[in-house]
Amino acid sequence: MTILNGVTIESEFAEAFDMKATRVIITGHDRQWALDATMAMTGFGTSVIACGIETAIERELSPEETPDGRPGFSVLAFAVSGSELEKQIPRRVGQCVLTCPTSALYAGIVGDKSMHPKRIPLGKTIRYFGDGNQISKVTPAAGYAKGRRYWRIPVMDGEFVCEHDVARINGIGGGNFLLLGNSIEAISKACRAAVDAMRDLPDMITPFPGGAARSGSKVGSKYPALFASTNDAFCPTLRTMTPSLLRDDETIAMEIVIDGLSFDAIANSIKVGVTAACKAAGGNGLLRVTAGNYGGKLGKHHFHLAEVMQ
Amino acid sequence: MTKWTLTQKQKPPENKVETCAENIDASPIDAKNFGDKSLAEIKKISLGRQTIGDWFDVQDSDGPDTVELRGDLRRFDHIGAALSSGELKVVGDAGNFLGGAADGKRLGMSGGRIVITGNVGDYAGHRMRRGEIWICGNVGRFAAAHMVAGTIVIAGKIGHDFAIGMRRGSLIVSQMPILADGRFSDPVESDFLIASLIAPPETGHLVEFWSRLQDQQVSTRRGDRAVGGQGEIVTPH
Repeated sequence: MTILNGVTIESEFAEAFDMKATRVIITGHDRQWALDATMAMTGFGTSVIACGIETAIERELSPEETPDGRPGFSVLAFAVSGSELEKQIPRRVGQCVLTCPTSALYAGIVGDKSMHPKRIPLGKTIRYFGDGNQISKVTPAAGYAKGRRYWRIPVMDGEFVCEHDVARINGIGGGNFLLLGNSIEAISKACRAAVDAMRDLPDMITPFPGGAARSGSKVGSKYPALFASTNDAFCPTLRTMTPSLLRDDETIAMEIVIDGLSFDAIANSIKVGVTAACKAAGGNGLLRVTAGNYGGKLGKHHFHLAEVMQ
Repeated sequence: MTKWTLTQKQKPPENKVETCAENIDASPIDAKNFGDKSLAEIKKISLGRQTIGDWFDVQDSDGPDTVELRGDLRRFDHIGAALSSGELKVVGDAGNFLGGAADGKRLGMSGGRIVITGNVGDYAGHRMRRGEIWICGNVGRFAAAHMVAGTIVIAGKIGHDFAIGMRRGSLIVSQMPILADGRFSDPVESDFLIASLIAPPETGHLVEFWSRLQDQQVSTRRGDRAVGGQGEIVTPH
């Protein structure tokens, strides 16, 4: 246990799982169209429990950082299996990016099959929307022995330019920390400070609304059909009914959930987020920071707060 | 990974009626033919009646798989005809059927990039299938004839009978050439976003030409309608 700005940081650990991941880059003629396409693509992407994938903006890209020199965003997506990712990404590309005026879509992980044998289709499937009028362009690029392939699909504002496919890589889902305190204002402030500080960190996302989940879940349910249910140990209204992990002065908990492309990316983001939260609301309603786990039996990646915060 | 540089030792005789000199089929000059061979073996590769060693000094150095030809290659036909990846560059002029189908084959180059710093003869890109040809200078007659797909960029002037029988592919030219009547659509103005994804060779004035395509709208004509083609001829508007 450590104390930071008057906030107790428990010697607990977050338990995270292997996932399959990818990154795409969405651009637009201006920032607003790029953002519109990105928000649509990442909508309803908070949890794999029912959304299929967990997806969010990784960070905003300047025109100098995008493949086509226009404003854009990089998006990370995580799923429990490669086949689910292969199903969800083309579906969202077709309905959310193809449809958005002026948008274009590129692989956010550079390298061809020789570097990343597992692929997620992008233009490979969306091209058929062109009804035979689609045009393929293969051009030399570093990391692509046979060249990098783009599709140009005629649409009502010109052409939708979309890369052929993108690499599928390994990721980690379910990194987390919980902010506990005694007022909604304080924990909201702590949450927002944490997520703001984590916003531009590479290789990670916080897919829940505003980066935070209030419906932390435990494994299993009294109802056989459900495999997850409310985390009663952190529900303040159940403090007197169930074995609670809340202390008497704690009336509210919010959980920041992190998916990342590497252990280090998640560990670093936890450190940045917890530090920002403690600075913002320590001594002012944020009382304790802890992390969620299942006893270490379910996920092989353990983020010990004591180690991460060093 | 090797870069091979072939420097011309002797020029072929002028092609006059008196000499009946044949053009040389240069299609065996290809990095994938050189990959596992020593310099001595490469020099023995046949180019018709003579060998690579008869025409060129051959040197190798570290670098991505590329072949650079230096000299006056106006009598060398079918350069890059079987290219499928990597880059083949000619510092100088090139002959007929650049990247075009050779040796009775149905298709020309199928990938990679050919860069010519000078001018090119007739039938450039004849029946090419995929890949890019970048030409800093002028091209002769029947360029892109029966082109199947791919991209040809021409910064200089273009001879007659351009893109006859073109089925697909992109011809990106500094100015719209005279085209056969009725075979291509009227020009359409649009943005050309794909230009920003293609890095031009840093040779001649190709970089400057390419930046014009990104900075302004382009005019595009589609055809050849005589063969139901969906190719495009693109020029800065």
